[in-house]
Amino acid sequence: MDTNIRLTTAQSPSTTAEFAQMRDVPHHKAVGSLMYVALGTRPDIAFAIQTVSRFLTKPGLTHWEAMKRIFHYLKGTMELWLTYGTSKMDLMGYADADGSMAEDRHPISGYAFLIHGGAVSWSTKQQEIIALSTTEAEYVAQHFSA
Amino acid sequence: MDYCANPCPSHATIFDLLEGHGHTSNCPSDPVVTSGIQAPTVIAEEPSHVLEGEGQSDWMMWTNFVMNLVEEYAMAAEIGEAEALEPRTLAEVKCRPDWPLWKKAINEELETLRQAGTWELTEAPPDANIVGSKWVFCMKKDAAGNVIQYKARLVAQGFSQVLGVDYFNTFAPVAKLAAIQSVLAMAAAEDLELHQIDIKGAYLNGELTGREVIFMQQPPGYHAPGLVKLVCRLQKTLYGLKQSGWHWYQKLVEIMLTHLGFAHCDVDQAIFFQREGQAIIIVLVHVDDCTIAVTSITLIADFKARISEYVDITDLGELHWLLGIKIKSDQECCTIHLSQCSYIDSILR
Repeated sequence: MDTNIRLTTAQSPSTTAEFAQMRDVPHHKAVGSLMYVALGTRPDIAFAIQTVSRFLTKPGLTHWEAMKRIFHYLKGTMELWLTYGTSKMDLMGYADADGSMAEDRHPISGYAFLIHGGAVSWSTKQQEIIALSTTEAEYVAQHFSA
Repeated sequence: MDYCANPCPSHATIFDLLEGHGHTSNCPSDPVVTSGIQAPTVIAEEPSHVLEGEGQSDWMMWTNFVMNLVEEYAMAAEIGEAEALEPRTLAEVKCRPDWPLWKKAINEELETLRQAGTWELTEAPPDANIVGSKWVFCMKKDAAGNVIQYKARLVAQGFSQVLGVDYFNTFAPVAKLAAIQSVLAMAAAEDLELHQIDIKGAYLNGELTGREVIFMQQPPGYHAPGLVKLVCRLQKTLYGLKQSGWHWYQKLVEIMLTHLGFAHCDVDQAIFFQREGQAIIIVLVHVDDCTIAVTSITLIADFKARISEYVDITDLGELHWLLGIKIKSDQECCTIHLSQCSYIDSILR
């Protein structure tokens, strides 16, 4: 996903022409098919999928471009493998939250658990509450990962 | 690159498909399979329409229609060539030149069901809900697309079953993806052997309980001679029944826990394990796919022998594929690699 582009609902189609343009775009299908990749072996696209899947009901051209960008990335990195057994760190867990950057001010929490250096469980999810501070968001993320 | 474009079908394949050649069975003694059965029937009606045709525009519309049709068939062929060419009904299969092979497959299936004691013939009470039955035909192909097996399966039409009367629970646990990955990570760290087995006709092993009385029509075209009016009272589950998944899981738990002495994993009900001193066997179950992680190769052979006393299994050898994920293990570095490259490849097209 392009780091310089902020996806918002304002980019959803509003005029008839824009709706017509997006009518035959398989955004929904594309997100669905990438979801399994994100769950199965690619924690690196989990956040990108989380972001584009927030615009499933009314995808705009910008969202679709972002989607295509993920496909480009996957095509280029198809040879990446999720590898287990590279180190002897036993179980490690990481959790974090972003600084309420989305337009609706819901923070996004994420976690990853690694066994011997290989990720076994990961997730990215928008928090249900609107946190009053980043500290609160972090606490919620810790709880989410637990 | 444009990812949303239609896949452009090659025209040579289309016409091969439409004319019904180019796709033959590889059984040496077998006549040419009439493939493309569905496709040409529509095209065949075309000349009469053209003769009646009033003008150029009609013809243009028709050509467009045919071209769309052709593209559709070509797409269907690309997506699931086998599906498009497999017969759907018993009547259809009887008309085909490869009927003797199908007949053999049907007889094999009936014999398996008879041996398993799947049903007994009885007279149905007048108000009983009688579930229909149906044959499903499938051609199994190898990676190169050659037909390796003709398969016929009798399925029950479970859609007429009523919740609380004919069936109760319909769920069955499968191993969680995170659990599978944890076991793989553990396997990499502890240098475990990973093998895979598949359970043949898993759902046919499930046993119905006393309170589930299900009557099914006799298999179409294969009624017991002289007993046409009788129906089958099912003793075991069949594919298509609502509760088959649940009963198969119960059966599996019974085999694993009571007969083989395994223990349930506390966090995931679809994981079984057994400890013998230093040795450990972990079995991950995904309906009928069992992934086995063990400390030594002799234990694997032993486990396979023990489980095959209770169910028919296919030994798939070392683990290479699991739920569309390619698995590669590196013995020297003790690492295991996972990749969904072929899945990614298939969605990029």
